[in-house]
Amino acid sequence: MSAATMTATAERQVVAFRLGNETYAIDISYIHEIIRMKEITFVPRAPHYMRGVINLRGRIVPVMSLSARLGLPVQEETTQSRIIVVEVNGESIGMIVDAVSEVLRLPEDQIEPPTQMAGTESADYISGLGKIDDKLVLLLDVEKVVEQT
Amino acid sequence: MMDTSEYIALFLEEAAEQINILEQDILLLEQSPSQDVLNEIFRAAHTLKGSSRAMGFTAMGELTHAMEDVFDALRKGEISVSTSLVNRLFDALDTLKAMRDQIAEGGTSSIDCDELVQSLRNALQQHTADAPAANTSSPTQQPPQAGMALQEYQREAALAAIDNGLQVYHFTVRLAEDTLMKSVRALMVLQAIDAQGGTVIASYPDEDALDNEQFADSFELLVATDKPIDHLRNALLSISEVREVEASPWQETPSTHSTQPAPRFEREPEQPAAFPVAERAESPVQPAVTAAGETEKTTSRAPSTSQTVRVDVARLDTLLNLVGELVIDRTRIAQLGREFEARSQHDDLVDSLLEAAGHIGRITDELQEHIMKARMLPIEHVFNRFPRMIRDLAQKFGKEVRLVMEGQETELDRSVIEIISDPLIHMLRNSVDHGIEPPEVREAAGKPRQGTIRLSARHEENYILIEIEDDGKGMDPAQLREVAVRKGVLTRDAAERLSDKEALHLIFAPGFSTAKEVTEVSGRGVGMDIVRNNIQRVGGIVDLESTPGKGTRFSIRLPLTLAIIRALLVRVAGQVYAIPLSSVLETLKIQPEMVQFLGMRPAIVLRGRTLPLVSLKAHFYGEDFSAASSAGTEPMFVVVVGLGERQVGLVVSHLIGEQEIVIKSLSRYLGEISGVSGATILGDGRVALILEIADLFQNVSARAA
Repeated sequence: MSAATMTATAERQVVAFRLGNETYAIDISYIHEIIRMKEITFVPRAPHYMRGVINLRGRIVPVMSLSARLGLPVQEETTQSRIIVVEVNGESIGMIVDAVSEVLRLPEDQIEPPTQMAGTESADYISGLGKIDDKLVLLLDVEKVVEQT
Repeated sequence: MMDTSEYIALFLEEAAEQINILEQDILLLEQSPSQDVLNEIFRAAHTLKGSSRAMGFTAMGELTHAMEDVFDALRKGEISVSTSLVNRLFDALDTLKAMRDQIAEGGTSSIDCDELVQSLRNALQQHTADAPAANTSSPTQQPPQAGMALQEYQREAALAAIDNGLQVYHFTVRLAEDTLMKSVRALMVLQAIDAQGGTVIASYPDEDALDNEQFADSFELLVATDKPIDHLRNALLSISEVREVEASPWQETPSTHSTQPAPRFEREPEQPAAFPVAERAESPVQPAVTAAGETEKTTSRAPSTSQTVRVDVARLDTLLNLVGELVIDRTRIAQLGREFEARSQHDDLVDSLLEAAGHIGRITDELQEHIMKARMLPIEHVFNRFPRMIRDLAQKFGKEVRLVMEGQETELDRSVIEIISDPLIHMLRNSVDHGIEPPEVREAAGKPRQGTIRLSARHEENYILIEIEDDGKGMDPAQLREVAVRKGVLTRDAAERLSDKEALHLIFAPGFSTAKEVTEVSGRGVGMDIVRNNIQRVGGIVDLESTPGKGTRFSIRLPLTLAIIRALLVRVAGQVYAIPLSSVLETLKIQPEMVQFLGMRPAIVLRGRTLPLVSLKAHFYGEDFSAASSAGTEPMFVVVVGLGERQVGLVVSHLIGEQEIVIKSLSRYLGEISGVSGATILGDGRVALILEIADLFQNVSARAA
């Protein structure tokens, strides 16, 4: 792909991260900050994928396990684990991911609709499939992920 | 030249206040006309007339003028109060409100009120024509005296005042010759007298003339007061441009005029006319100054305006939030200090740190207290609208209802005030609609035709107690069970198992309404469940008692404020929870063998009463409490919490202690968490959840059902 077409094509900036063996991505415009793991206060009787709440500089922010939310096996916490704090509809929410890899630019024309994902549990939350150097990136529909079912 | 737009806000606020006074007073008028009410009502209409005219809102001025005429006729006893008259006055008042609101929105009002004005005038004429001349309500106030000739009723008022142990003085007030806004000065004089607790029995020229500046530079007043004459005199002299105040005790002189219809603009020949009447100042400056002058009017009703500042609510909110952060940091600093202390043997630095932390603690306490106080408003702000509402509702349903209000001066945080308003409206509507029976039914039951609704507010320790009590037909637990079963709220079995008290609480169940048919007023898709939710949302509790045939009493307990509360911190399953101290009755340490099981429900016997237990570990973490308690030998900690009459013991792992906490709401992404109302940040930076006591009670009832 030439530089000329790069500029001509709209692109999305996304933050890519790892859940298990898969790479997911979130549109960067949703992302408030990315923080290291910190103490999470468990909130009983919350949805099963909710890990609890954290104190983010005086604000109470709920934190979910993104793996649990997407129906993926939940990995052990490592030093690589991060909380991606997104802001949706004016409210912050944190999502635990196994590792944050990079900020990517995805040309719009390299994003496919998620039809071929149909049938998997996480399909509902995927808004598209991006391809970068033969690597598949699953684009998350953040609003769907945070809204309660 | 001054621009009137600067005064619009002032005018609007003023107008709202006067309209409010009018509303209250017209209601009072209907119930029990008295001189005081008539005077106040006349004054309010008069003030509103003056300021709306001054601001150039002629239609508004016209309408208030017509109202004022009616009030004037009332206090002169020329006409008497009737329901139809009051209805007309309320129509006028509603129109005034609408006009005010229009002006607030767009700067002008397009409402045409000619018809209303005409209707008021007609009322006046009809009433004057056929109303019995003798009205019991004896009026006060108005035109001239000593040099001034008194109307018969004024003379009587003066004599009555003397009989009541008051002094009656005759004042002659002279204004500086070059006074521009004489009507404003006159008004200020009247207000000053009012503020000093004096009553103007008569003025010369009459108040209309004073208002229209139809006087030269002096006027006379007849004033009843219990204050020394110099006291009043000095008060008047302190008004700028009041040049001279002559005062002398009034002595009865043989009454001259005694017949009823007083010529409204009667002028006396001996009026010192240093300046011809034509010297009216109508420069464009006037509106501004008049509006400003009107502000002074509030002085007589509220604390001195000059000593207070109006603050934007948002600023107060910001201040409170900042203090909230400070409270958290204070706790943190104190905790760090203690940790250092524990670590080092003896260290002067640590001592200094602790000392500073202690000082910060005290300062923060005070700061918080004062900001809280600054946010307090009397509950009057909510209560004020109810008398009118009850009257209208009663009329609509063909019921006779008396509303008694107590404790309007009780103060609470404005955030709480905002939230409590709607639930109260709903409950009062319910009382009129479902509680109070129609007059004939009441009579047949041997009750007075007129039902009474009592609305009261008072402080009780850390919270406000608001009660709504009616002497209506009450609620029948059996009938409530019946309805609940029919509507599918409960199974018959479950319904039968409810105690009478619990059955009453069914009205708070979603989808439940005792109304046989949905009425326009109560059945607007809002049920008592929403009412209770709203109250619980602010950490309040609603409870009710009812006796069939006797009446119903709702009691609402509200926290004084929403943002910062005292809480008891406890530990459950290794995590800290905060229990609002306002709900905590006591804490106990019990042995596991004291726990008994009634069916599946754990309880202990406390001072002869059965206290149901809720294990927070069981509630939050699904632990099997019966197994755990029978196996355990360690003592258990119980926090006894109360909700209305009911009590429950919360079983916790450890008691930590009391602390001030700042309430923060949980994210809506978490959904409703049963038993948790919010979260707070502890001194060590960790998050603790705040328990929602009402939810936990429901949990007990639900298991009972």
